[in-house]
Amino acid sequence: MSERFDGSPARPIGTPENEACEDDVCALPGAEVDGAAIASTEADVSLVDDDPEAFLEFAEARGWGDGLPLIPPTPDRVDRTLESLPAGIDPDEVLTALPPRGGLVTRRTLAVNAVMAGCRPETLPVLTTAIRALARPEVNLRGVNATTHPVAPLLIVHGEAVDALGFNAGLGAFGPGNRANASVGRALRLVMLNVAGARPGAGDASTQGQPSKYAYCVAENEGDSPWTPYARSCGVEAGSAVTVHCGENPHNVQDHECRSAEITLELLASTMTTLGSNNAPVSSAEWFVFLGPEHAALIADAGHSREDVQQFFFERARLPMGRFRRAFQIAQYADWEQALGDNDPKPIARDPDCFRVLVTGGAGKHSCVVPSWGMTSSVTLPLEA
Amino acid sequence: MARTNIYSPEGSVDPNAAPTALVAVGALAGKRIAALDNGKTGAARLLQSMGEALAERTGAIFVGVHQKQTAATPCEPNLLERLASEAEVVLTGTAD
Repeated sequence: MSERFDGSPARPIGTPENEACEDDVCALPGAEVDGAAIASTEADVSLVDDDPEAFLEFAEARGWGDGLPLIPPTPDRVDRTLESLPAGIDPDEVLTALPPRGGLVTRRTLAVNAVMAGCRPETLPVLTTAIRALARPEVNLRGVNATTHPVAPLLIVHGEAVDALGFNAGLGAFGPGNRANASVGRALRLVMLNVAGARPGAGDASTQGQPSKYAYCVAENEGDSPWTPYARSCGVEAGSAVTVHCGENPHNVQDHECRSAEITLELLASTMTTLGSNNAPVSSAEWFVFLGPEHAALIADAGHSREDVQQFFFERARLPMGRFRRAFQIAQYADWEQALGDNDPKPIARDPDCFRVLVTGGAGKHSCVVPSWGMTSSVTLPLEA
Repeated sequence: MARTNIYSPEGSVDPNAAPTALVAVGALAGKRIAALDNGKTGAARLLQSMGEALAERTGAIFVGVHQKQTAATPCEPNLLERLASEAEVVLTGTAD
């Protein structure tokens, strides 16, 4: 192991240095166990029994987890996850700190949460890349985690990793029923809760919460997409990539008749033309548009590129500026938007590029849109261990 | 009964994270207090009242309320510099 962040040497679990014990909690020197959080990366605890119910009670008493059953992160399980990494990678390297708690992220800490969530070891790099992406300043994670809005980070997997790691990009891609989507999405949320401190009422002030705060992970269906893979359209040329977008739950858009590409696009645009989402007062906010393969084929067969679709939404997802003015005294608009008259149509987003278009799902005539929290931007990174 | 070791899922805390300042009320006498309105509804009114009350009770000087651009993003650096030059204590952090 490497040194701890404070410079003191890290030790294996269960070494004789573990002397500071209180109740049934033992922590390495430097950790605080007097009612505060256990503050050491290598802090270990001893539990009475390894059975699921006992561990759930134990975790619940410490404010760990999401309320659902957890797998105890024993050293053996965590080591198996870390052993899946390429040789030479330091599991205790500090990768970033996550607000609002300022929790330090190491691969070991991520592996602990991945084990608790039920992840297969080989999926750890997806979680690691997602956390790296969330730490980018344009995501504004402090706001994302602390706001009263229900926002949760959506993790999107692209490229070779989808099939190689068993992610579901087809029928039912948003869930349930696939271990990779469910467990990696859940692990990301456990990192937000346990490391970032985004616990309801403490670091997370969300008024109502939302179901995607349990798990929110999907994969792009590149095989059924008529367009360039999403990550490549963002300039990421790697074989596998991960995108994070901080927003609401998906809003379904159905068009079973599919009489024309324009009508399908109109239905999608109308779903985004709403004053209730944060996209309305923050016009720089993104919309993620997940087209089902059948809708995507209809649109592409009519000769439309991804850029055409973005331009369509920019031109057609509009409301009179007066309706925005009536709804919001506080808003973030571009100068040219503020100059519009009350009867002028104002786009729901200030730039066609705010509409992020990709394909996911299987058979059927459904698509969905995912509104943004607002003051945040999506990030796409190449998969990296 | 068997006891099994596990790792904590919380990890360490960044030692550079903002520390909590614990200051005796009496230590505010003569200090300048400003307020940062984060843009939440009613924040300016609440902070104005708090600043005035705190000044009255402690002998501090309340220098007024500033507003940052939006509640959703960190305070602009130039405004932070201004606050630092105008006051020793800044009140902020109201929610909806």
